[in-house]
Amino acid sequence: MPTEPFRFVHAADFHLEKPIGGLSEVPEHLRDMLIDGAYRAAERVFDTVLAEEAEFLVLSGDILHYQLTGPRGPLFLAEQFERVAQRGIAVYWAGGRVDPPEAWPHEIKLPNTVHLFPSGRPEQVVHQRDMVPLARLLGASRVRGRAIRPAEFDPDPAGLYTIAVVHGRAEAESLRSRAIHYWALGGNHARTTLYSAPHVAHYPGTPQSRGPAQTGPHGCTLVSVDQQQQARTTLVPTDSIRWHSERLVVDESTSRAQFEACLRQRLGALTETAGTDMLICWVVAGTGPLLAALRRGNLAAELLAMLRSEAGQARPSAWSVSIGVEPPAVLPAECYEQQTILGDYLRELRHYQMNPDEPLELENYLSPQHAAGTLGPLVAVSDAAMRERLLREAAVLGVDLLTGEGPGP
Amino acid sequence: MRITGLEVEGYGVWSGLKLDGLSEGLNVLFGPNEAGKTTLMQFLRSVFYGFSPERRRYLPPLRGSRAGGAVEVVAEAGRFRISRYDNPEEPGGPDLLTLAAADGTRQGEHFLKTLLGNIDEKTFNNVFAVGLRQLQELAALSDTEAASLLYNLSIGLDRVSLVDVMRELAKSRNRILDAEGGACQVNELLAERERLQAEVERAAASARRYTRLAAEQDSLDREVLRLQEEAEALAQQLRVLDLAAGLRDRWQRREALRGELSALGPTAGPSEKILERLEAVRLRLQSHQRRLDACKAQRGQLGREAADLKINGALWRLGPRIEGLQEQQQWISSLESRIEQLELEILELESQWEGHCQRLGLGGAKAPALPAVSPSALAALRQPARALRRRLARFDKARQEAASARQASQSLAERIKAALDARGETALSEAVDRRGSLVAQLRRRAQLDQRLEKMDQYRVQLEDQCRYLLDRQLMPIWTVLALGAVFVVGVVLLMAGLFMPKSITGSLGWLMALIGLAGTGGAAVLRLAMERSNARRLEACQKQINMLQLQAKQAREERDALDKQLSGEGPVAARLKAAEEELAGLEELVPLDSQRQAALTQAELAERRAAEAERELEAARRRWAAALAAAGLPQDLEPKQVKELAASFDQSSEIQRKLAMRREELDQRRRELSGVTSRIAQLAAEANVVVPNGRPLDQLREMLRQLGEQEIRRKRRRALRRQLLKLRRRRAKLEAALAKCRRRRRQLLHRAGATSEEQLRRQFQQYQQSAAVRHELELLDREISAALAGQCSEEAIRECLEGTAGDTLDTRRNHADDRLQAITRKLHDRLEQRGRLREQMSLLAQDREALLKQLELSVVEKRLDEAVHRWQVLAVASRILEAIRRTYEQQRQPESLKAASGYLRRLTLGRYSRVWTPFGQEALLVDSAEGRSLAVEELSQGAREQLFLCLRLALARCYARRGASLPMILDDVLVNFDQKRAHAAAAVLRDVAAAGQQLLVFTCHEHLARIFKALRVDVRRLPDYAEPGLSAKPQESPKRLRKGRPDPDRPTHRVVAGPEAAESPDIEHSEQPQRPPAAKPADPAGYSAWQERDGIEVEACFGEDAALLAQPTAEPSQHASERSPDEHAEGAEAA
Repeated sequence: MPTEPFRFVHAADFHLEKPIGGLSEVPEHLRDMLIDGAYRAAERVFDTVLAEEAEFLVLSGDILHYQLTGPRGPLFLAEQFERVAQRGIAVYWAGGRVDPPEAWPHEIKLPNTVHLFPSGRPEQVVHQRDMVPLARLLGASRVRGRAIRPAEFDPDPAGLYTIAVVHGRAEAESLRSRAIHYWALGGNHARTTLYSAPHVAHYPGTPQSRGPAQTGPHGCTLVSVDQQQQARTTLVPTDSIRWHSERLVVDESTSRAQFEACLRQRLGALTETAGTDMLICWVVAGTGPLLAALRRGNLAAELLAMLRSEAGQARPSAWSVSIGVEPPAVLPAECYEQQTILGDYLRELRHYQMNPDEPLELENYLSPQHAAGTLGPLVAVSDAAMRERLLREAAVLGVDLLTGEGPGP
Repeated sequence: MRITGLEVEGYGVWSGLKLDGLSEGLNVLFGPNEAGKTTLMQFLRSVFYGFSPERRRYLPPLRGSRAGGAVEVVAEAGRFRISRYDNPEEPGGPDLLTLAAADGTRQGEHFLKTLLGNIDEKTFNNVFAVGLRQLQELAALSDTEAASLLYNLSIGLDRVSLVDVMRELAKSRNRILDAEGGACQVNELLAERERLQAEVERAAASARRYTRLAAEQDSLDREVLRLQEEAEALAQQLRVLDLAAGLRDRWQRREALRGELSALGPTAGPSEKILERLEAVRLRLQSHQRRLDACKAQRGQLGREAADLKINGALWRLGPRIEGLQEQQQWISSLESRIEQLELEILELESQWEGHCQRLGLGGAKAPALPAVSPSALAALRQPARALRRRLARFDKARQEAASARQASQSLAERIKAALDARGETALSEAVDRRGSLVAQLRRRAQLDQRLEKMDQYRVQLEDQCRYLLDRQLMPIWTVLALGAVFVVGVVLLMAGLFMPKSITGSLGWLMALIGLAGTGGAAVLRLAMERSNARRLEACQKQINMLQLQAKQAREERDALDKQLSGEGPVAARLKAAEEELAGLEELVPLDSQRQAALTQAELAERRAAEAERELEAARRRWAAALAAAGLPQDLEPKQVKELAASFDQSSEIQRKLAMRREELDQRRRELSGVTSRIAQLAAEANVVVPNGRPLDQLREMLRQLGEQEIRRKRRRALRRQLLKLRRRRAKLEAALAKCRRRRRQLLHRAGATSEEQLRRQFQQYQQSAAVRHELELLDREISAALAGQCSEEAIRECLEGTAGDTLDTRRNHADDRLQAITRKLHDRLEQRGRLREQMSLLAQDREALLKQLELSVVEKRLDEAVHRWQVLAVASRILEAIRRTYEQQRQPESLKAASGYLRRLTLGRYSRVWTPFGQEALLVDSAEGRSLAVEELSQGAREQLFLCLRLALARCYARRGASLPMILDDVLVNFDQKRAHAAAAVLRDVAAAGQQLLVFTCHEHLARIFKALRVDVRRLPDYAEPGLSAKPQESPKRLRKGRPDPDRPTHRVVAGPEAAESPDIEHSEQPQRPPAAKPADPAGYSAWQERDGIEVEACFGEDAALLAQPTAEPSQHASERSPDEHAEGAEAA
């Protein structure tokens, strides 16, 4: 069924109650930005709605935790809703884990243009332009402990463009089978498109990344629907500060001066291209004495101070968060063949690497009381990737300690 | 380093003591109790490490000599004399230390440390200069470097200690996460996290607080509304009362007038009516008289006018005939028109005939000769002609379409190009993209301006609030006075309660004091609380200003960055509008471009169709020519010409027939017109109407006109006659009306009972008086209504005024005013309260405390993650190393423990075979001959002392291997040994000394001295300290014993340096030069190999002990059996 072309903005996971984390120390000049990052990103989402003259805004849950934000969060949202309402732009909002519709404080009034989908079964709303139906929105706020039920979402029998608004994880195939034109999903902080043809199922991600694991630009999605009901999604970045991970490789011949020059060059390139404030995690891989110095001594701290003094205070700021050393996947074979404690150590470690089912039992280093309390789960090694990383770092630590080159743990 | 001699100038009981010629091996100094042995050991400690506070108890010397002395030592660097004296000028100050070489050169204090092998004092006191008390304490070792020599394993690459590594790992692990729950990083972080989580929850409680405040605000709003309504009602009541007070006089006047009107009673209404009617009758009489005069004048004028009208009699008689001709006027006119029309048609038909002939190529109109075309030939030509016509039409249509499409495309392209040239652009799509980007930036720029403006406004508000709060910091004078008054009253009450006589205060003294104290404290606390509240609010306000400034700064930076990117000048709004207009203009060109493309495509398609149609047209022409030839017609004829030729015959006949008919009709019409004209001329002559040179119709019209005028005059005369008649009737009527009015006047006067009009008017004056009263009443009504002006009803005023005296009205007004003021005050309070609530809500709405705590919490959690991860890495490393440790624990032990095991086995005569330490623990276990492992605490005191002696000997040997070879001073350490073990211990000491360790053994027991003597050890008796200048002398043959050589007169024994033999070849090689040659034992064949396996020494001089030692293996017994008879004899003697 041909339809009038229209555009709308899809966003989710504002999490206004969460500041930007992932830092073990907070630089003073970035403190306000870290605290208000989520608010700034959310404001830019509404700016985008106004600038793009979108038909409506779709919010797919986890916008804010009313209790944790205090009144500031709901008041901020109400103000933004009022901004778009003055231009006659509607907002369709399905609650997620932290923002069930019944939790909205009643004393803060929402504009009439904001429609909050109830929990449970999906509710249908037909969006009209000049009294003519333009799109049909099926939405449901999340019910705690219940997954998405795609079977409850049906396409329009008359062929009206249908948007399903819901928060949570779902299998792509189960969504695809429902023939909904656009699944406006929330709950995944990374921007993800489950499928894009002939219909679309899309997570816009959070408008503001909050940790070193969430690198790259984040924002909202501008969805353009043409006459043939084909949707095209475009990322509109809204993040005020961006995480970036930069990996450098050194070898035996790399000197400190060369490494510093490389760091400066990469930092300059990042600063020029980013155009926004950045939090950079440096990861150094390879071999050689420089890597060992980075691992053991104060070199990493000195370089970090140098990077922060050169670009950390500028605007836009490129704040270096850490300089980490990537442990090698495999050590040289001669290390394993030594008839020394180091050799025994590495062979024993390799035994654990080759037998992933053999438990490390780190809880034994705790008293039974602590192991049964909060500390036990805290130190338990839960997944294979974490175990592998631990074993690799333990191998490097053992080499440092048992060859007498390290300063001690 | 070895001591060769010592000289005590003054130290404790000693004065002038001199010992020289000390052996490099074992020296036994014998003296009874209180002989000064311990003092001598302390002297040595003092010379080496100074006069410590606890050793200063030996100062000053009892005999008054100079405090201090000297020790002569020999080391690898040569011989030195170390002298240390107490500073007499500054008791307790720095010692006077002198270190002189044999050649007299002096060295610094640092060289003394070198001589002492950098052994610290604590280690020296616990390992090298040991009394019985130190010997009994294993814990004394734990804080020294010696402990590591006992407990550590050194087996890593580059001599990295596995124990050190594990210990460091454990320390680091425990620093991060203490296994026992002690203070550690993770626990601190967990506590911090818990604290922050609680703070986050507390900060989150602001949402509930905001909800509560909002509910309070709603309640206040309702109350404010209610109070406002009450105030409004009271204000209305006040207005009514004010109005009543203001209207009181008029109200009373109106009531008086109403009374007066009622007093006048009912007025004579009929008299008034009669007067009015009489007046009306008079007026009617005057009117009728005026109209009668006018009627007479009008009759005269009409009569004169009728006489002036004249009539033409002949014309009037011929009127019917003339009117008859008038009916034919239309026909005459149409006759003339038809004649003209026929003449024109004849001319047109003639020209048409001529053109027709010329078109067919037949020459002029006079020679028509049309060729005939048969219908069959025409039918044969019809199909080719139709095909040719269709092809031709198709070709023309395609050509026109191509031309129009091409023209349209060109036109559109020119429009687009003109539009782009006007904007300085070349390509449409690029221009649209650029303008779109510019518009987005400008919109963002405009939004930033708006945001900055809002922030500035908000900042100004905050600054105002800040100033207000700053002003409020200085408390208002009334508050200060009130608090001060409360405070002073409180103090007075307190003083009065405390100090006034009980006779005055009675039983209320304490109560007054308590009230006074409460008042004083309350005033102070209240003042403090108010100041703090103001300070907190001010701080919050300033914090918000700072935050706002920071946000404004960021916004300005972003704006500046955008300004740098945006070129151009002028207001942003104007630029944005211009850019949007440009973008809109460009976007309007996009459909044109699409249309241009479509037109181009259409033109190409049309051209292709035209070419195809042209080819088909040529084919159709060829077929047409063939058909003409077949029909016998010229081939250059067009189908149209052939068709016209076929139809030409009928058409020519038709034209000629029409022409003849028109000419005949023209003649007939002309004859009819002539007849009518003659009749009209005759009538005009009879009626005397002359129309010079007139057409028949003109003559007829003139006659008709004059006839019309006669008719008008006749009608006018009739009308005048009717008017005169009417005027006559009207005059009669007016005269009758005048008479009637006169009758009516008489009747009225008669009815009023008056004889004349004057009498009637007097009656009427009374009526007018009552009317004035009513008029005043009406005026008052209007004034009262105007004063009320809809503010209240008259009933309300009446209610206030009637039955109420003036003072009561004032009382009611004052009462209402008081109530209104009370409600106004209450309303003011509620409004202030609501303002405070709104302020609190505003502060809560701006509160970022929760986010700040969340940020701190994320920092703590990040640190916690890092710490836990680090702990996990350390724990994994520890786990791996522990697995290795279990393997190594039973295989390798520190060399010091190995040596100690050898000494212990000998010293306990094989009762205990091994001393060892669990890996990584600072604890000792002793293996008995039965294989049991016993803790040190389980041993008897004697066995424990023997163990500790062995450990010290082993440690000293260990230090010697590390380059710190110092003499050992043992003060009565064998006192708790039984005879056998004392003998064995003496033998061990002798052998240790023979291995290169200098030993100074102090004892007060003669049996021990004898044992040493039996072992041919240099035994000296200490002199009595009461005799000055004495020196210790050997008891016998000191010269021989000093050299450590066996006495040829006494049974000889063999001394084997077991530990050295057990060492690796490298170490043994490096240490051998340090050993005194005299102590080097002989190594019979096969003996060293046995030592290497077990690492023990064998004292061969005790047969019974040797048998005990021989039990674990067969070889020792074999060696024991190989001992010489002398050795057996010596062992027996010693026993």
